[in-house]
Amino acid sequence: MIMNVLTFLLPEIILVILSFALLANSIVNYKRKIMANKTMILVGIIASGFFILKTPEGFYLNSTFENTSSTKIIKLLLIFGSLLSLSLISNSKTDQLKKYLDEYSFLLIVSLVGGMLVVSSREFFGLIISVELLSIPLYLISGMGLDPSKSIEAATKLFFFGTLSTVFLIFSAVLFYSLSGSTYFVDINWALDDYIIILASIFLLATISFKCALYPFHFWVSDTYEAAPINMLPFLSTIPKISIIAFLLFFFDGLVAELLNKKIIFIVGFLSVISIFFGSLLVIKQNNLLRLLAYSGIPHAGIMLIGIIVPSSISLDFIILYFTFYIFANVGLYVCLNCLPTVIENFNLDKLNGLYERNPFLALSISCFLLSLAGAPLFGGFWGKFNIALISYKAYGVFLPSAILLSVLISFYYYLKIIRAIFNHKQFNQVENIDFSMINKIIITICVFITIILGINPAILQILT
Amino acid sequence: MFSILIYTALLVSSLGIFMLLSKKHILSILIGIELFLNGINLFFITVSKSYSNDAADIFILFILVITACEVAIGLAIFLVNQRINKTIDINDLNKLKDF
Repeated sequence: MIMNVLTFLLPEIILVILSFALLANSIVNYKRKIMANKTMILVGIIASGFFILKTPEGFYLNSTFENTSSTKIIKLLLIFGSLLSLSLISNSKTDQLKKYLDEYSFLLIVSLVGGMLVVSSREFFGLIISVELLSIPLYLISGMGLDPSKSIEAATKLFFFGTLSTVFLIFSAVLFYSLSGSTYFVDINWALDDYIIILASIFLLATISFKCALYPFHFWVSDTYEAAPINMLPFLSTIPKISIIAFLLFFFDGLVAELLNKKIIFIVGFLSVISIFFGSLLVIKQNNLLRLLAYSGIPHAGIMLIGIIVPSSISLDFIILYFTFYIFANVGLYVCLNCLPTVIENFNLDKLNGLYERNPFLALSISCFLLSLAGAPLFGGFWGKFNIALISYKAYGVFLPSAILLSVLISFYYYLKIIRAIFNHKQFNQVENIDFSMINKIIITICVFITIILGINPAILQILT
Repeated sequence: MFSILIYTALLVSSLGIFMLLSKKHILSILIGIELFLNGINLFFITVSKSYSNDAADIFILFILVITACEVAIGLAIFLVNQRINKTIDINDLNKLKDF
């Protein structure tokens, strides 16, 4: 029995052992400490990714968690994204990050384990604990930025909203329990025509909106992105968002497949449309680069949410395609921004002026990631947005695709604003050198390669399955 | 008895929400959140009486432990906030703004 559970949980167990090894490494003091840290992260995460491919499919731990082929793919994506962001941390240039390297890696890996458990949880117990495991390290990390007074303020705000969203999640679990007398997701009777099930879904969606920064609960996102250490942003912008949305995909599986409760589907659709619309409007006014990118994640989460409510067997593949391009474009973009000289005050768009003449490779990579996020053809983002618009048109008519099209139009405006600053002929107005080490080059090349390959032939993703 | 317990749970939760929205002191807001949560816990126990399973007892123990961990981390963050920003008023946390 125990050996059986171990085979299912082996990837997570390896990651937990790795995190405690990193914590032990932080206590002792010797010469090649940073090297040991890098080696441990690389070996541990690759071993965990290898064992994900080997784990059997099915339910485990009293049907609390489930492994299927799609959860395996999403977990692999999460692991690969965190490997890229962790190798960025171990290559950081500021002294503060070098000093607390092991603690940072420990917190991020614990958060990754939480994200992996969220994806496969099938019961409210497991879900609440995994969501906490995912979000508590992030409160601490966001308080470790370069400007202490700003980042501790951001951590305080994030802590309050995060705690409140957990309370909402518990409340929705209690309401679902009061209907069915069971804490399993399969026992929820979606066809019930009762206002309590709608109330419970609204509270669950409020939690999701907090964690993914959807429109009505988005206010923490810009503050946290501005004040958190920039090395954390590849992790912070992808892993929580993708794991929570993947969870929602499996949670609403029974509801969406047979369109059992039209009211709840309408609420989810409404949430995604207002996120797309108001999120796009919020970005237009921004001039600070980090706040702009933070807000630009809101329409993306809205589009992913539209993909969830489409009753089609093929929608899962398209959402995984969206996840893939989103992870690699975001990670690559933030790695590029991290190569620039450190900016503690406002990171305005004019700080990027003349970057193309200073370093063409960096400028072209940033443009490639931005065009991919905007949804230009020949990049991965185009297929992500196009496919979701297409399947939502087949299911619900012309309204949802036109919302996506509107968001793409506005997103071209604000992403091209950044690209215009990069290709400006003004002098690059910062004296510090651009830190362009080998490992950053490797990460950027991998991300550019995957973005362009996905744009040319998105069917290549089927290799994973 | 059942309806009294339900009303008590609602009362405790709404007191928590009121405290969360009206107070300016950081610790008061935290206590408000805790009160909201404990009202929900009471509601959970009451509901589970009508079903004959004991999931609620274990569930609530887990929730209490999780919240204890969360509060510990929150207090640590507030302590650092007090040392650096010299404030415990939520209105003074206004360095990060859109414009």
